[in-house]
Amino acid sequence: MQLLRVENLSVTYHSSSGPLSIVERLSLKMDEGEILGVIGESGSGKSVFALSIMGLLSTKMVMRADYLNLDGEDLMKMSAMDRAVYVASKAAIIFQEPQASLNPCFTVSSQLDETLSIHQGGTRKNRRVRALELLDSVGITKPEILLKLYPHQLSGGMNQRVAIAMALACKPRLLIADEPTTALDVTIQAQILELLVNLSQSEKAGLMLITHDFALLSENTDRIGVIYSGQLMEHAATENILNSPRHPYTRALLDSVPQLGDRHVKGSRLFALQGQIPAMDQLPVGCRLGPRCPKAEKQCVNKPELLSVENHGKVRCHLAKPSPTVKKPLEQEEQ
Amino acid sequence: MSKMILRQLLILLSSLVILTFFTFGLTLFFPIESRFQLLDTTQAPDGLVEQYVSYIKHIITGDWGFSQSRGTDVLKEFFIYFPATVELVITALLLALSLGIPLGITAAQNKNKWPDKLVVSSTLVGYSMPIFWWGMLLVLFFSLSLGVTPVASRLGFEYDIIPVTGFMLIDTLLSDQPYAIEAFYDALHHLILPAIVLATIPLAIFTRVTRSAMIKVLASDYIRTAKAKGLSHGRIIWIHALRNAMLPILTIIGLQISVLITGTLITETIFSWPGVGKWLLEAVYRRDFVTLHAGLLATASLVIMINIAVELMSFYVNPKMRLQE
Repeated sequence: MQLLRVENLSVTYHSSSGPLSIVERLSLKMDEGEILGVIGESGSGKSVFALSIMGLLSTKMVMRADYLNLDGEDLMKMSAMDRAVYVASKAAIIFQEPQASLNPCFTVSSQLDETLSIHQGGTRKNRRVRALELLDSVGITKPEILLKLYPHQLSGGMNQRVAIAMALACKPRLLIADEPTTALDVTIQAQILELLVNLSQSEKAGLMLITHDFALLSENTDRIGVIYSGQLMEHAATENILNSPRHPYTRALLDSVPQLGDRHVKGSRLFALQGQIPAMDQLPVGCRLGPRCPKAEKQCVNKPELLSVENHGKVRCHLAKPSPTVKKPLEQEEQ
Repeated sequence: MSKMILRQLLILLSSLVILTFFTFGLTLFFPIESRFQLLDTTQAPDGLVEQYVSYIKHIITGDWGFSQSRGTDVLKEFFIYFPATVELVITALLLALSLGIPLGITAAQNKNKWPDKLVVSSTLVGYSMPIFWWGMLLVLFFSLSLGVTPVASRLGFEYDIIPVTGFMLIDTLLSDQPYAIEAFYDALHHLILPAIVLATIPLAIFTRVTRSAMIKVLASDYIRTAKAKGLSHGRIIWIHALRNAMLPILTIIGLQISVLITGTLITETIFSWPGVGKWLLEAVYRRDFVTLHAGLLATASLVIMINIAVELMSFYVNPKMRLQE
């Protein structure tokens, strides 16, 4: 069953110098139990995209979308109040900085209990039992002790586990993890990632994994969406993306993953894309990657559309050969 | 935790000792007959150290001398005037907090919109206004033009209330006179204008501190988490955000209490409020050094103690500090 359907989602930021488009007409779908990777460099709008699904955008940002269906209900038709309640019961989000995303003034127990009392209710005793269960399920060995502690008494990895337990408290159908491991040690990264993937499989919940690191996505995801400068650049099954990336940006991201051990060629330099992501008020003409693209051609001054490529997925690039039969923008067709 | 309380008590003690150095130093400039009231003999002991020891004995035993203008025991007199001042200060403090914190929160939630701009600019006006002028304006308008509030003192002369606690609002309610409730409202009427005048500057400061603390807290990740959890707006603001913003607010409350006590000197004089401030100002006019010394020592020790208490409270509010020990 379809879990999430986003069609033409745009986010506009109203700055002092005028409106800026942070996310532009982004469309994605997720099925139940699917793991979707969203990748892009800092400032590409991937976090804003996640926040807009959750309805957590700052007041200066405005979201518009043709459809934003979550577990069978269209969020765009709901009032802000209803939407907040509905989203909180169906989806949960985990943030990048585990230490900062827990309230420093309250114990783990009171923060977990608060979440449980909203979504589950029941007596204090029942909630405590459930809290212990949740902490146990995220791999915390002595949950009784942990409940009494404050976030600053825990390590980053432990805090992230608590944050995940808190996210699971509402039995979410969709779990969004916004760079969940960026602030953690490498050894902890793998554990947390494995935990997220296992939990999403056991709970049959969709998992949206947002990151800038291809290494995290390669093994776990079903499909990957590549975002650059607020636009979806390539969207395809993980193996297609990894084995035959059609978009120069995806290629560049893959090339910039360092190789270790035998795969590393001595003396070779790590690939890096020239320049930096354009400011939103100074977007280049035509393709947004244009000025940085190693393969740019004359036709790249025209705006590319996101088109289907046969046996692959969807690509927004003039150089990717679109499938000959279908030549309409992605937004109108099913994959 | 106990270690921290002990440390604060040590700070309290040493501050009080340093305060007595200062007040003792002041007595050296007093006329000789005022000074001898605070020393053992009619004749000053030889060295400064002996004099200081003798002075401390007087302070600890509560023998703070007799007022030169009235001939009464100054410490007893202080405690006669003290409740009136406490009543005024507490009312002003509560007024400033109960208005300042919600105003600051409202401003923070509407950052850079018109409610915020209105609050910020009016706090600037409130902060910069000379309070004696502001007090006069209020008296002119509410007491003289509208006639809704009395001009001076704590209670209308038609009521006869026996002081029990010294707090007029409580004494009127405790009184068994038939007009007890009327007297209570009369006392409230007398209290409201001085309290507003005294609260003006702290109100402006509490509003600003709350605003900036809340702006910082509301932008933090854990507030975003609280929203994602589906908590109600009220719970996010008043429990999750305010608890974190409370720390700077508490610190500033401690500092503002000394501003309030200083402010009573002016406010009590404007409204003929029979409190410590007015008592001290009259002592200045009469060159009553013994009274001045008592007022200085008592209020200064009070401010020190309040600041230590606030410090202890902020330890309680912030688990990071509490659990460091």
